[in-house]
Amino acid sequence: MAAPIPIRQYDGPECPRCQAHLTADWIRSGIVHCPDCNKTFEATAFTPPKPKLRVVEVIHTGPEGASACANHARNAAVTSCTRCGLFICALCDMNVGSGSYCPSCFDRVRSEGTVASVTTRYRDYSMMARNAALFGFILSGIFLGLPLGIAAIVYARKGRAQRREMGESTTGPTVSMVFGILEVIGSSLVIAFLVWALFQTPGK
Amino acid sequence: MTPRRTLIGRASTLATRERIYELPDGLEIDANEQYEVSRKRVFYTDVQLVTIHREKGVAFPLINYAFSAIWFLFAAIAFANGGDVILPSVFLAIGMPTFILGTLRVIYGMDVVTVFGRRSKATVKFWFRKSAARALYGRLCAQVRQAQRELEQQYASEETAAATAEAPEYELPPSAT
Repeated sequence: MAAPIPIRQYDGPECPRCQAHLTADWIRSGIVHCPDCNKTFEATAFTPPKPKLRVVEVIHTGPEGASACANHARNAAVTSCTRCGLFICALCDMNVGSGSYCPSCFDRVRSEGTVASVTTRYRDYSMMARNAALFGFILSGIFLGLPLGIAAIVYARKGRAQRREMGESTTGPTVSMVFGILEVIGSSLVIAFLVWALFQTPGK
Repeated sequence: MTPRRTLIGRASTLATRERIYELPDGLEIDANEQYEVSRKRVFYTDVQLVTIHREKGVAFPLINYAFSAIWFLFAAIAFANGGDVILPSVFLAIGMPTFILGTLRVIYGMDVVTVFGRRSKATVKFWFRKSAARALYGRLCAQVRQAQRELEQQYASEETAAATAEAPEYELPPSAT
């Protein structure tokens, strides 16, 4: 069995030319000479501020007290999970912009793809519609225009909904849909004509 | 719903196709893997390095020249054998676009803007719009600087507020008054 191809993991700034990892000394502004390939590139370096997480223990919350985190009994809760309502501390708070989630709910919404801001994988229906329409057009000579046209219409519908949800233009899937409809009509007419021609008795 | 995003460029290689979008708080990279799209983000508050460079590459001109060389060879053979002009012209016309593409790359190169974050990076390639690449580089640097300054101020104010809240309140004994 062939050995799996190793996937290079990104581990911080690298030379944009040769992808050699840059150590802290080489991350600087100005013209940088790569120590590996010895070629130059222009760079601007930044020092991103590191987040300072403040975890308050329940006993330090004052006379009013505070609810304890569901996962860390000693820590005071700072918010509750948007999905399950569990009290969570600063350590457990997975804030994704659209709300705070506890770690288990975050995993769930991420795998389900229900929260757009945490979605990292999705199917490109617009491209599927475009390819179905294109191949349907090319292969219409061997009667594949009908199934591929139907596929183009179905995928274009999904693609339009997907693009609308992302706030992008729906022109691409709409064009694919029009092509799909034309392919279905054209292929149906050709098949109908052939069937009609087959049933015609010669010499009548 | 995802925030409104603007397509700022693409970065394609033989194996990958990426579209890079600009968000209010960072960049979003949609990488196509057949029909699946994997999405990653580089937030301005996470950026460590922004670079710009011009590259000519070896593979791109070589592949284009090889493709055009095949068609030019066909044209030469057709011309030598038949003496007719039409067929060699057709072969020349097929091979010419890739020859022009390869030559343009060798002459002008391609400007590449790369944004390196803590966890991911974004690359935008510009074939012809050199000024657009420079403008994007400047704009990204300014946005990153502003975002990081704002975050620093936010952290500082939070720290000040926390320090004020933590300051113990002593109640003076009645004898001291």
